[in-house]
Amino acid sequence: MRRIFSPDFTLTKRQLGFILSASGVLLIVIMLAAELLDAQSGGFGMVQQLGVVVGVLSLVAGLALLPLGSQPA
Amino acid sequence: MVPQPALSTQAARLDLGAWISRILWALALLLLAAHLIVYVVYAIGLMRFPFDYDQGEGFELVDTILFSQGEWPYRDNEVYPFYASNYPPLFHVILVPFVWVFGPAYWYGRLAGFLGTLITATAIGWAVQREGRHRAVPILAGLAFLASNYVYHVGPLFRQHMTMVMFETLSVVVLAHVTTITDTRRRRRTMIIGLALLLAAGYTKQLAVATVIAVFLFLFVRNPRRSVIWGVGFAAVAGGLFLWINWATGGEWWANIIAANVNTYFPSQFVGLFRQWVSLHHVLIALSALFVAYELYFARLSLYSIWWVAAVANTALSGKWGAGDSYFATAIAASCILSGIFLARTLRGAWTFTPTPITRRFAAVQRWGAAHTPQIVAGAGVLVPAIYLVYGLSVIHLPTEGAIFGPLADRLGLESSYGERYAFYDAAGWVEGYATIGHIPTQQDIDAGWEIVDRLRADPRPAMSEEAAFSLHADKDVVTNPTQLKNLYENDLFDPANLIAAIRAHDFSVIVFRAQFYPPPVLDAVYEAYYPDEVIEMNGFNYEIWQPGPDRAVRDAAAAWLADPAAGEALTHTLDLPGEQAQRWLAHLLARHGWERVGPLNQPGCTADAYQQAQITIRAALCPSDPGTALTLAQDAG
Repeated sequence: MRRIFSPDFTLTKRQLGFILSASGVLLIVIMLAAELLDAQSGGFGMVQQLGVVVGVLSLVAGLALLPLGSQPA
Repeated sequence: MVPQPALSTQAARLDLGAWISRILWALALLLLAAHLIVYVVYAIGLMRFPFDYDQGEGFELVDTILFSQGEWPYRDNEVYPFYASNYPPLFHVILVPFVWVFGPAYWYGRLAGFLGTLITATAIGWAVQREGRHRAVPILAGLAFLASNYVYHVGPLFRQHMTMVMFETLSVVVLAHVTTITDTRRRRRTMIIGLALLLAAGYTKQLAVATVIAVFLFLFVRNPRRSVIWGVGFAAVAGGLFLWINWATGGEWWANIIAANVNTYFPSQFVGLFRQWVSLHHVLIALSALFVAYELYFARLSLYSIWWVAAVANTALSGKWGAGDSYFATAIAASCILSGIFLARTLRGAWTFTPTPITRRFAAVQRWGAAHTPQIVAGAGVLVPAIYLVYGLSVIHLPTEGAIFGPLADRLGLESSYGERYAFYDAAGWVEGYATIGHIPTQQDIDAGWEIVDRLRADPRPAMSEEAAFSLHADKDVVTNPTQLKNLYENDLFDPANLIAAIRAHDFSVIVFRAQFYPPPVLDAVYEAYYPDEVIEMNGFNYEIWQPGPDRAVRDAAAAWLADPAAGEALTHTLDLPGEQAQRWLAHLLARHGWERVGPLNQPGCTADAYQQAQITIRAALCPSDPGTALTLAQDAG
């Protein structure tokens, strides 16, 4: 943590990849959980579909960044 | 020495390519300059129009007037004049000196919005010039912003939206390189200026929150420590201002700015607008997306790219009730910058790729690119202006009337997209949430506006108007901000009892409707106490003038009788309305209670009609009386 908040620390491509992938997974889980928690809402709505699409995009973009290692983001 | 045939052919080909390139550059510049001329003419046309052109403009003027008098527009909606604003203050505060000098008027607010778009376009051009180092592309990138159908729509309106976009763009342009400034004092100064512009954007309109997020995400990616330190400072200033205004307005700031903006969301509206946005700006969007992907995998992420992603994501809010195409303006500004940098870099053959596992896989492609740079640059010389040309053609919009635009539209074979309603061709077509504006108001529209003002001036009481201009011109209080009341009512934050009581007591001389965007109980009270007397068309919209009906005792008696006509004897009353008005009121009353007109009845000296509902037929008669008109409702029509 101390390193992250040092004056010369910059996020790497790999770290950004982890953040994007985790955000994507979180978004997908939220969209699916919303369906499970409120099954009577009338089906998997447009907002949920959009959320899943954005989540998948974020996950894929993040995973593709992981091989770039310590390059600055 | 005789030149080699192969070289001569190649030279001729290059020469031809250069000529095609020059012609395309000239055409692209001409087309986008023509868009600018249309925009300027439209802006001047709106500045000369003294009434609301777009719904809600007048309330922004009212906010400005209130600030000029040292009053907050964030007030209790439940007491007279039942008015409050749902926008932050900066745009209105900027315009306060104009109120002091010129009094209440629409032109300076529209001028400010228009100038804001010109400043934004200049900032876009400047950013592209700084990053792309090319002479023509920055001009086209700036003009591309002004050519957008969406920017055209909202730019010259008395609305704070484009001023917000201006502050957002200036902030991003100022902060784009802040992390690379090595001189600490200069870096701090740049940061303070950039964040002050960002704060200005947020206090112009709440929608700037996406740009705030983008800026601090960028700072976080570059250096989390700096992001947190400056973020805390920014939050302290922005939050402090927020708390101070909330304290000064007794909590009305929170209710009107935040709570009232939680509106119903229509996903289909967002999807429709998003598709339309893509169909109009496809070339700029595709290039921007490519540039973001390039920076993500082959270079460092710039603030422009992060801003673009945040701005595009923020367009999702365009699905809110009351939102529309203007919510895409920030994304358009960001697209113009990114696509401009992309194209300028291509023209200069200045793409660089950081060595990574990905770039190593495409080493052969890179080698080929490096070996053919002159050909790529020459091809780009044709392709880049062609791209702007395609864009300029896809966003065509043009008034189809007037000394110049009329013949021009005929020549181009463009007809009004709105038929007889008003003269304006728009390649965008129409989707839910897209503003049906863009035409230039005519003298007829101005005359119609003054006609409505005359209706308000005919009575000393205040009027309840869905647009503020009529009350302002008639020197009357501006009563109600309809959409604000509707939003608050739908969030259980507005009790309409006092307003309903005022309507039922005929406290207002007339009620002017355009879209009836009031809470349902308020509309119901108007339907009960007033009647539609006439319709005046202005700007392609029907303005309904509702006049007070008879007094409450008569209305209550008539309503009770109509609810159960078989229970009592005939109802007779003298109405304090002349014959024609009494007829309009009676027709409205009966229709409102579900009675259908069957046909006329013969009653000498009177106007009598038979009405029917569920097998019951009644006679409704109006006879001249001194004073007023005598009303009879009886169940003896058959």
